[in-house]
Amino acid sequence: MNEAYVTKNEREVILNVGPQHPATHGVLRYVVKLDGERIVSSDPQVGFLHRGIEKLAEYMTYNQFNPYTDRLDYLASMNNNLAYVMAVEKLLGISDKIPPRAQYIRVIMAELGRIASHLVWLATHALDIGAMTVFLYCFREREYIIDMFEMACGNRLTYNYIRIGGVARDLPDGFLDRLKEFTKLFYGKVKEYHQLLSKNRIWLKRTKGVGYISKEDAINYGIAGPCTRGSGVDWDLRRDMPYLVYPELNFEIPVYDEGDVYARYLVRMEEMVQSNRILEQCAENIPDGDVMVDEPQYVWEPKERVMTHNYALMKHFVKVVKGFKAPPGEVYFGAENPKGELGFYIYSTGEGKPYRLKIRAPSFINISAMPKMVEGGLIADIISVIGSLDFVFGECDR
Amino acid sequence: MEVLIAVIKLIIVVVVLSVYVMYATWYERKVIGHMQQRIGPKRVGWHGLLQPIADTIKSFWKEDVIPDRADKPLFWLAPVIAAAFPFAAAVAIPFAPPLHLANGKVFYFSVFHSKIDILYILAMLGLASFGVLMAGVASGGSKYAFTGSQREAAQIVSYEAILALALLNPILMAHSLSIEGIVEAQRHLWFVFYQPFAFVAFVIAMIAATARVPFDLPEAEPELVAGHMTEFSGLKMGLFFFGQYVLIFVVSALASIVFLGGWTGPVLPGVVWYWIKILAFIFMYTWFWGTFPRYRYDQLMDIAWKALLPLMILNILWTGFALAVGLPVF
Repeated sequence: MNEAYVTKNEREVILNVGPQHPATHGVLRYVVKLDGERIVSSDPQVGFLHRGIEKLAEYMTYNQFNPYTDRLDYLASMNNNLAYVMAVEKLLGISDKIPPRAQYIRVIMAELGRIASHLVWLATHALDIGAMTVFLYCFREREYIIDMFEMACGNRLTYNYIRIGGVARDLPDGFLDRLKEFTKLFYGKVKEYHQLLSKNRIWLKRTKGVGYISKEDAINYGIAGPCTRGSGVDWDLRRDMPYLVYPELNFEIPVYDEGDVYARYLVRMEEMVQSNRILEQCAENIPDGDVMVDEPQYVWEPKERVMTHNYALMKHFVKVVKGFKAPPGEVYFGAENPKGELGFYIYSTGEGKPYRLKIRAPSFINISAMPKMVEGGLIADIISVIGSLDFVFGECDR
Repeated sequence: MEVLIAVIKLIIVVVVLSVYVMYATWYERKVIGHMQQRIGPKRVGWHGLLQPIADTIKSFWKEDVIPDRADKPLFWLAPVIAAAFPFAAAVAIPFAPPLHLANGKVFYFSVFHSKIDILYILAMLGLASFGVLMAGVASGGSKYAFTGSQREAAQIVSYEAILALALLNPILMAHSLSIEGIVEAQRHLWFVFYQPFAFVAFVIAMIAATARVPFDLPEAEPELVAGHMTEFSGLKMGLFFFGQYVLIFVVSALASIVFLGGWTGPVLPGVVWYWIKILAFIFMYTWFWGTFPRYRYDQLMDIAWKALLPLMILNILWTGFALAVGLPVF
């Protein structure tokens, strides 16, 4: 070892994990102080992917900002759209008027997004710990979901499908059949992943008792979603602060008390099954009807009308250029995203653009708890913990 | 004449092993591809058969980057050692059963043979990991490379003892250190049936010796980027892989000779049996690669020192006792 790198009279070495590193899921720079392979202290450094999305929002109409939310957590774009759109609707006071079909479509998309995001989590988590095959199995199933998204909105990564007032368009023919096909097939696939990992001695050794965080710490750090449910906090926004049609649906919230990587793993695995149950119920119960709310001042008129009626064209022009005038006030809405609670705080002064928009990014908050989790562990434990926290840097750095 | 034959054999071994290494990568990619519901290499040549050649040519033309702070002579030496000692071990491995010629002489399909083949192979296996250690030290302060080598050092002390102890049981039973003698002793029943524990321990140790999943700690990609190879590029990095694949061949052949009776077996000719066994072990490597996650390096040491070592010592005591009192099973 080079003399310059080892501080005099100290055994500790500082290792920079990332930002270019195969396992840091994007651009996390993780500065670790090591004694041999044991971690003395660590410090996650973020901001390499900062694009100033919150600031950009102040220069955009509400509708213009919607595609930007796709770029937050790009593995669950649908869920981001949903959270943002619900926040704006809350500001506009039209939350209750969303037609039921649109609500069901939103739930379907959100749960499909959750499964897709969890599949990528499982894939990369397993790959980081060395189980390569799980990676490809998960992407095989994710492909189904992405294909369905492509059917519905034409895109495969950034959807911009859920719009203020409803969804962009109705589900295409055959979508629900494919959905039913997927839900039937998916239980078996989850069983396959369980077979490969859940009882695997090596997997248990790498994840059990690793990255422990207590219930109190989990609450104090403010981490949310599957990570806290792995520490015994029974809290899920879908059930505890219900939105859309979730109260009508029958699903369970998996909670494990161990607080380690394995508990978080089990939570997410169980969540995929529960999401699949929700999808099954939605595919059965989805009603017919409109997919856009009938509020002409907030919602764009149908394209045919805009192209044929002079006054409609003018109104459309104003709505596109200046945006609709939102009532002044402030509003916060948090939705249960795959990563945790994604919240949008909007402060409106009555203009067509938000005065300030703040995003509560679950990835960012989850990372803050990382030093606590890896303290006293080995280098290999960093990798397990990174996998179990499941962060996406588009969202963390915003 | 003897010398000439030996030189020709040596050249053949080097050529055959080089081609073997190239096609071992193809085989592995195909097998793991199908395990993962992909198809593996398909574009270059028929079913991707020319892919390994393309890869080799590519690695020749890669820029050879040497870090400024690197210890230059060691940096050159490390990959050479990492590739040379597995080859040195491979020259004692026969490619086919010995041929009894009409004039009473025996023709061996290995470059050399002796009464202490096993000892020689073990010694060369031990030296092979030396290149990995050297790579980490020579990389000039690259922390990933250094940690990789550190892990390799921990791994050597863990598996080396197990490897030797596991081999000791069959050696005791065969009263021989030569490959031929050991195979001869298994004419009736393979040693794997007498020594199942030693066999399992040997398989674990041989995977650790070749640093493959689930014990691929020195180069654990998500943790240490490429471990000891982080700073190496082009042909130098290729040499590390070369060494590793030859090592896989050597330990697979060793396992099939010592525990599965080498070229003995019913119905089929000896050489076929021999290669079936070797290929089965190589397939096992790929299978594990596709199935298992990776151990942490302290866990490998736990397995080696707390579980396998006491078990192997008991096993040897039992084997010695059984041989001494002449129990009927032996």
